[in-house]
Amino acid sequence: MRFSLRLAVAFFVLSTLPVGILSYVSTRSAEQAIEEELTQHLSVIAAIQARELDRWVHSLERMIESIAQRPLVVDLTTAVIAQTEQQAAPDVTLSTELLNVHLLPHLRVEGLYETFAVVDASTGRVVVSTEPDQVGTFRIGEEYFERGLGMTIVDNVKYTPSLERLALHVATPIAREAGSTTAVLVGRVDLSVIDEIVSAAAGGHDSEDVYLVNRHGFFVTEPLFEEGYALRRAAYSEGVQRALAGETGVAWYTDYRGVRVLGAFRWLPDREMALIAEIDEAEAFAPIRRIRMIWQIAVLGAIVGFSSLGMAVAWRLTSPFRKILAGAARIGEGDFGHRIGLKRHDEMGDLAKAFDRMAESLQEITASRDDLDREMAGRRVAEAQLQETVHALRASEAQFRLLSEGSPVGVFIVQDLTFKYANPALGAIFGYEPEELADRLGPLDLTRPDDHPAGMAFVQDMLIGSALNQPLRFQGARKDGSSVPCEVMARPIEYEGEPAVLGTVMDTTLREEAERARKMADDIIQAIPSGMFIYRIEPPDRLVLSECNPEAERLTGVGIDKFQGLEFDEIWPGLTGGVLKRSCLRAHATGEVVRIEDLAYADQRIEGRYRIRAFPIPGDRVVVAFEDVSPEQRAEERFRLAADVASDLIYEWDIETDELEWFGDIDEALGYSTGEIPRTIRGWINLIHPEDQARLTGAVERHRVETHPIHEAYRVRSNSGEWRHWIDRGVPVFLGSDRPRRWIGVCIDDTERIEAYRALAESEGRLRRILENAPDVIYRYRLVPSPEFEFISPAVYAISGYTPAEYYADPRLGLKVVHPEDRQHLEEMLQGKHAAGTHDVRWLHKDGHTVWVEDQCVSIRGEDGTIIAIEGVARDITEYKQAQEALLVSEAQHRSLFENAALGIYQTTPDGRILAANPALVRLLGYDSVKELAERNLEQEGYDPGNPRSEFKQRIEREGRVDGHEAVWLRKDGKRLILRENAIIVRDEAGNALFYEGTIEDITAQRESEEQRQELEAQLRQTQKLESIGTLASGVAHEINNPLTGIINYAELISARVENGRLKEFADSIMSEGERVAEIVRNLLSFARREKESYSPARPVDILSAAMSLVGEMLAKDRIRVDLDVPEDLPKIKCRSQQIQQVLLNLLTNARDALNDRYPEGDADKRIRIAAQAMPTDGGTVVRTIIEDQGTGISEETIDRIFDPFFTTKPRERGTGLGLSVSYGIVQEHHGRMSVESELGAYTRVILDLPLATEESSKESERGKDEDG
Amino acid sequence: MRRLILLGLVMAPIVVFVRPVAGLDSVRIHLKWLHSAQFAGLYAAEANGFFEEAGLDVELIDGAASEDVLVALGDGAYEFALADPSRHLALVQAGVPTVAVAAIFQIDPVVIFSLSESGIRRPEDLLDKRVMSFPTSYVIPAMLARVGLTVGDVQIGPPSYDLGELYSGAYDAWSGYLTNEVRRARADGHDITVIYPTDYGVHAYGDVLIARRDLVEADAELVQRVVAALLDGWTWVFEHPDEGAMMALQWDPSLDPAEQREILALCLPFIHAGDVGPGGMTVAKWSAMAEMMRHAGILDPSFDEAAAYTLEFVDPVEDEGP
Repeated sequence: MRFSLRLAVAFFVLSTLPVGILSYVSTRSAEQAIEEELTQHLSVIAAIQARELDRWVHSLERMIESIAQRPLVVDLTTAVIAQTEQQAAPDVTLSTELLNVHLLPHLRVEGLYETFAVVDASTGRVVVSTEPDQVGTFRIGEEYFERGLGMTIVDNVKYTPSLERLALHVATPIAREAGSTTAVLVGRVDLSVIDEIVSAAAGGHDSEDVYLVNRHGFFVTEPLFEEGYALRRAAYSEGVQRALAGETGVAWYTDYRGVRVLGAFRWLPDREMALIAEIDEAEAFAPIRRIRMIWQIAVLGAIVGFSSLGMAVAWRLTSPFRKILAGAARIGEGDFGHRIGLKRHDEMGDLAKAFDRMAESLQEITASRDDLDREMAGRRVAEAQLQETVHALRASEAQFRLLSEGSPVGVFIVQDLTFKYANPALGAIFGYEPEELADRLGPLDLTRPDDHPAGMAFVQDMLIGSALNQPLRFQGARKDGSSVPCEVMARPIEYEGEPAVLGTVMDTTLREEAERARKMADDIIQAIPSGMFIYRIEPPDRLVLSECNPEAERLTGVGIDKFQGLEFDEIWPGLTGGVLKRSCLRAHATGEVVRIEDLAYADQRIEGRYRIRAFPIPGDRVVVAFEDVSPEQRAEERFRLAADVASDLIYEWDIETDELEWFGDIDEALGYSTGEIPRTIRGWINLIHPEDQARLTGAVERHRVETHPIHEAYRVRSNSGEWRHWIDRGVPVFLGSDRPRRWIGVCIDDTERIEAYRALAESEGRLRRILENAPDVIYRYRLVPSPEFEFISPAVYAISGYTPAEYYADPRLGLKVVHPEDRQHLEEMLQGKHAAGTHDVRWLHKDGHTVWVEDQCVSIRGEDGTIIAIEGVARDITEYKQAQEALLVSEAQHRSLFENAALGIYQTTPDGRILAANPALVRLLGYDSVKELAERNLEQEGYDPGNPRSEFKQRIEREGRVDGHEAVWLRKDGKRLILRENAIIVRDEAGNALFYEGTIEDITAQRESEEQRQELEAQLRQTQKLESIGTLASGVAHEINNPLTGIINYAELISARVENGRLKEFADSIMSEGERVAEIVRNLLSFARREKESYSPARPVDILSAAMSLVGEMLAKDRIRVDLDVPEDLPKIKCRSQQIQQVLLNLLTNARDALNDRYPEGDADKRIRIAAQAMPTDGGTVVRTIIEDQGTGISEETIDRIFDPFFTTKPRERGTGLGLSVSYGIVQEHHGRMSVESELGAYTRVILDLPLATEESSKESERGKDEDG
Repeated sequence: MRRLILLGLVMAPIVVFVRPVAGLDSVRIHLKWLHSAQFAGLYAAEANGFFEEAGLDVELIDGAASEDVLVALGDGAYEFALADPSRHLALVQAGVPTVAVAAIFQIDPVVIFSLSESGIRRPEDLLDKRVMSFPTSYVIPAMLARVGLTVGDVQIGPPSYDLGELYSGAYDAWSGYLTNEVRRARADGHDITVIYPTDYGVHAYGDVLIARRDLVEADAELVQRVVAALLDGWTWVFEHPDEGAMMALQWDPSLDPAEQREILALCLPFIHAGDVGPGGMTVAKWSAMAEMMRHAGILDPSFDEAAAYTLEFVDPVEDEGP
């Protein structure tokens, strides 16, 4: 291969190799960066999702436990189950209350339960369910039920035949105390929530796929790309299998679709599921693919550009070689007088000189040849003379032969391809005797078969008379079979009258040697970059250094003057076994080049690996070329070349002309048409981004005088208007000046790399923002090789007061901030004594206060199973804890208020079942315990049946609250109470009434005293009315009495004087009517008169007996029976006996009239009951006398008026309407009370209370008697 | 010489059981029913060469209702059969020498269903109603026992495969597969109400692989290979359900592809219901099944179900996992 071509190939390889390496390194590093970022991203997502899942499951457990542990739920459940066991008709109110108040409201909490069911622990039968058609079905045999009898359990996601879909059940015991489970509360979970939770974090990547599989590898949630996979399809990818083996990590593998993905996997031991988060490789590495394509284009461009450049440079570089080659060729052709004459001071010049010297040597070597040439010239002269002589001495052949016999040159005459004559020299050349040739052999017999055609042609040319101007070279065939190089010259002659050829043959062996020397020169030329040593060989085997080239000096580091004249072994003391020396001798002996491809050499001065060529050259000399092939050397050379050429575009800037010349297609690189970009520095600056222009202009001006390399980055406008990021690096060219004359530089388009890094930075920034802005502390704490934080998010400062830097600096800080009482647990966890999980621990803030933290962490195990790191998320739950404590305090306060309030406080269902009641209410209603009260229904057993709760219900349902509702209630002992209620209604979100909540106040006493007050007022009004009537009546009576007396007297006179007849009848009528009027007047006076009768103690039985003596007979006549129940030992009352007797008579008369009206004849019920007893009242002890008949009764309309004067229902002849008025007045005066209860057609009961006589009153009465007396 | 003859007689049965070294072991498996995607795991094991790799030459015999397959199995007509575990328990009690070795259907898809217009929603509603059920089925007695009724309280009609008798009112309710008869009734456009036995505490395996007892005792290794290859078949089907369903057509080309896909989709959740892996069995579930059948009066109170199954072949298979 030609050197220039080889150089071009080297250029090509060395130019494309760095570009290729650069592209590989940059894409690989970007790949690693992206992979690292995605690994973190997926790990964080997997961790967050696992935590969210745990949080959700805890919420499920907390909610169902909080319901199941309510005392009322336990009570209601027990009651419902008891009913079911007794096969009693179910009391729907109990179940309804359990449903409406305790279960249904919790279904509305989004994302948790979709149904609840209460299952009888002993039979497994559903007794209450938020799905009514499930009541009566069984849960026996279901794992959640069997295990839920003892503890709260979250079942696996399972297929449920009756739903014909998947379901997740949570169950918890309902028990009054541990071990006495009466029922299991089962909640079914809305499974779509798992899908939502699991896929919630996915985002930012189209192919980000997060899903759960169970411990058999089956999908539990639907993956991103498929539907209907849950429990119907299994995934056995590497990620799934490793997660199922309990590993947590990230890996590349093929997913369930057969697509290659980067996946994070995590085993969730509590859930017995694996969490998988994956991103497609295609999406993850999309930016890399773009970069790679750009690099490929760049490499292709570089190949084309640098190949061309390499060719050009190689042409220029090999120009002196070519000159040397041409010179060597001429020398080789025998022009030993030719001199290359290359005037250079470098290795080329030295080589040319070496050649010139070699030519000189060759000239010397071929001196004999010159002699021969001269002999040839002489021969030609002789020949010419011979020609003349031929004519002259044609006949004197013997003389010719004589002449010929002595010639050192072979002489022959050929005719008909047969030697007619051959001189001894010819025979000597070919190893024959002359007589063996003449007339026996022909020229072809002395020619190697390869040269026969040329030989034939030559002879024929001669025969037709062509002149032979140039000698013909051929390989002669010697008699002994060997070859000899020959040269023949001939011309046509006439011999013995026939055409013939006369020629001379010369042995050219010596010339061949010269040619070989030229070939060697070629080899030497090819070893130009090597160090060359020329050794002179002194027999038998000494090699003495005669000269070496500058590269040899560089290689050995020693000048030629130090080595000259030394023996070979003295120069290369490090050579063992004389390998090199033997090679040199072999080259000299064989005349062949000897090659050693890789010789390791070391001595005290140098050390390296060399490729060696030993060339034999004339003059018993050997040229030895050393080429340094040490890897370091090669690498350094490659590096130097790579640094020079690793670029897109090379430019040359001529400072004087300001011209800018580009190597490589600058126009195409920026999308312009050829030549469109101006080739001046000014024109170039116009393409630069305005923000970069000023800086670049300054740099241009600086670099006109400064010499440090250009290294600028700026944006260049492409033809499409896009700004490309370029990096410009240049070195000055001084051209003998002390200031730069030119700058040669390289421009690299850095846009894609910058874009890729920007995308990467954005992606990284996004993740970092997530981590840094997360309110929770996210951390990874490494345990091996040494414990320290690998990452801790900035949120830790807000929680602990220490910055992440402090945590990184002090690996123990993570433990130090934990409260000493909580520290042991953490240390044990680090030792692997117990599993990671969620722990509430206290941290000590830098400023000393305590912070409650929920630390949820997982142990990361190495391949050998030891814990190598802890990853976790810590959250400040101080507020939650405080709120919890505050809640407890508040609850306690409320409970205290509730328990100790004087008011009755309650919660009831709308239909009256008591959900809660405080002790005050229990006492108020006369019960012994809350439990006893809770078994009652207020609607039926609280409110008085005559006073239903419906009005209260209507009001509260209508208005949402009731204030001051008064109603009559019944105590447990039957006593009536007047209670005032304030209550509100509590509704659910849908507006359905859940329960009533209110207070109850006992106002019975207040109401009674008010009634009494009203009664007293009425009595007062009645009294005042009577007093005014009395005053009026007494005045009228006095006025009437006198004329009436006159009327009656005159009537008596008329009656006395008239014997018989109608006049006497008239007079008697006047008298009887007059008497009647007189009776009225007396009654009036009696009513109005303030008699001064004194009060004295009297036995009630005596007064009654007196009254009975007056009416007893009359009653008996009317067949009215009198039942007397008046004990004789009743205490005395203080009274005016006559007046009380009048009252009794009045009442008995009224009773008799009523009985007679109802029963004109006799009847068993025609009787009057008279009972008296002493009775304590507010105003002291009284004797209460009740006179009751079962006569006509008094209508409601009239009962209020019976004490009014002149009001009567009797016929005019039987009553005046004053009896009860007068009686009422008398009782009033006795400070007693009289009231009437009656029902029309049924009965009338008059109650008469008269105060007892006291000692004081007795004395008073005594005094009264004295005064009267 | 006599001794040699005696030795020959003793060795003869042993030699019979020795497998041919070069060839495959022939195994006959009787299916529970006619060919359909319900048995896709078997087809997959056959088509993918799992049986052959396990050194087995398996002959699949589809189920005809003419004989009592488990009795025939006990008599040596087959090596294995896929059958109903309740029938198996009853026959083991009666002395038939068979052993359950793997549970393919973790949940029995048999349900009671009726036309919605009949108003039958609960087992109590079956009182005095005409119900199509096979006399050997445990479902009706077990469910009735749960709500305090007995088989005598309903009219169990003669076995029938003609759903038209349900549509016409000849029967009030029907006992059938959720994956088959219920699917068909719904496909026929009827509004169906289903009573799920699991809602009444009646939990049982569905198709169970049952082996001859002598085979289990003499050549456990062969049984192990059959079970492992069959479960490999099911594992493959869970990854390739469409191809799995289509394999049924190779056994009965008259089947409708879409229908087979639908049947397999319905069957899969019964084969892996979320807890135990395919094929797995537990002592607890067998005990519960037997207890339920004792409660319903199908099994004697003294019968010990432990003789009817062995976990020897499924535990290691299940533990291997995916």
